[in-house]
Amino acid sequence: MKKIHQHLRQLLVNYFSLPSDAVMELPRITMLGDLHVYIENHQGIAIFKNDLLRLNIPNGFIQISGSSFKIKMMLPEELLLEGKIEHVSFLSKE
Amino acid sequence: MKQLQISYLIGYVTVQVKGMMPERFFQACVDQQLAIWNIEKTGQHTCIGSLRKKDIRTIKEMAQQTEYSLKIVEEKGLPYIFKNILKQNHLLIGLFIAIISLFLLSNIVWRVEISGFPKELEQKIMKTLKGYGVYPGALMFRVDSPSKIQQQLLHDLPELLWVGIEKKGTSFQLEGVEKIIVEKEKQISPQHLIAAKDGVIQKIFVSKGVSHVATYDYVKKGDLLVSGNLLDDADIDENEKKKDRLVAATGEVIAKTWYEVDVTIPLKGNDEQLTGKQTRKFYLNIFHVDIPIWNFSQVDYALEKKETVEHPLYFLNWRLPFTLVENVHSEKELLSWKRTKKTALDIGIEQAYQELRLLLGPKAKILSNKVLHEAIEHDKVILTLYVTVEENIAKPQPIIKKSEKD
Repeated sequence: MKKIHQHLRQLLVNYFSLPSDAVMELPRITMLGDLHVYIENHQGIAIFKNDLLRLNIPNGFIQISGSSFKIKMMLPEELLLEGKIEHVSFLSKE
Repeated sequence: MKQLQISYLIGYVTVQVKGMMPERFFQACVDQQLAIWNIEKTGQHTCIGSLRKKDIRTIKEMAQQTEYSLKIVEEKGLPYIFKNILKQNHLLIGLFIAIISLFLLSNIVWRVEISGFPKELEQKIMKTLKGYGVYPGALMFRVDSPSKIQQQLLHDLPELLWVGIEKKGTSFQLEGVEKIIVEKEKQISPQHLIAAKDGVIQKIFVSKGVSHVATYDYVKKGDLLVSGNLLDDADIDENEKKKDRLVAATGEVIAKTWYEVDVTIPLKGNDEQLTGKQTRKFYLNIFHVDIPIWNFSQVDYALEKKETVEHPLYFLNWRLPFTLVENVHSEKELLSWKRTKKTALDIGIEQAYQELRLLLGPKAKILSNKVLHEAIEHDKVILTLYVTVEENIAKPQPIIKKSEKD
């Protein structure tokens, strides 16, 4: 069932040229050098430490590591992280 | 950044959350639609974050339901600044004193400006105004309204033709015109002097004209006393008689005249008299409600006269919606009196004299009186007096060309 859903969305993106982030529930990550990371469409914080931020996304996590982290702003599906960013990685759930 | 500035205006707090995975607590807050910023992990189990002042209650409730403990670390923004100011009593007292003094100062007459008069008169006006209580330093609500002062000033200083008083904030501006009393050489047209009343002539003073009557003559109203035609004189030659020599006859003809005066004098009556005892009470009138502010003592006069004066109050230039009301309670007493017939008679005569003086002016001299009729009716003495007066009966009458030819 979920597979069919995913396919349907893919089709929507391809044929109707809708923005993929909105349709496919994917996080949109904007970075400003290594100072800021702006993440939209996430599903909440899993872990937050001085040197690590892990965010829930539909099928896994986004993990950002670095140092002296600070969440500048937090809204239901948006987040602005400030600090020195070293890695942005995707972890799948399994 | 813009959001931060707004937050500063409405006030925000920084809280410290303690517990296992404190960031989860913030996540729960965000799920409740609360805005949170500047989240920082300060320790293994502590986290700080900022949120709006109005969200504090929600977050406290949430903390109670979970096992996280909450501590407010810092309060920032205008609401807290105000709160701190209010906490500082001396500052508040100072502000209060400042407002009170500003209020008092705006109710003080600071300047009295006079323009349009010579220096000498200016001084005189200043002095008169001071008598009314209008001088720099006087309290505004003790001063009458400008129109009242204006009337009083015009009445007390006959030198003023017109005066306009304007109250401009804390200063009075006077503008006026001096009455220049010019002795106008009146160009009197030729006139005769005729008798205004019946009477027996006592004295004649003629400065111009030809006298036609002599002392102790009895004249009737309208009789010619002094002619304005100089050629009426019998001693003048016939030749000159042809020319007209008309002047304005002037002079005084003092004659004895008689008047009948009726007066009524009550034998008894009631009078109200102020005893001199007075109580002043002050109220603050706000929206037609009087709030007593000074002198709370009960007025217990059996009979009293109440006078109410309303003084508007000003703050800087604005008229305040409340006024200072001054009530003056004066005690009065009822006096009932009785008179004997004799005193009533004396009073009656005096009253008749006064009436005559009022009628005839200050120059008339009352010579004698005689009671013609006297009756008592309903506790009243009714008198008819016959009064002899010496007065000037000369009245000018212009000479009309035609009449003089006759």
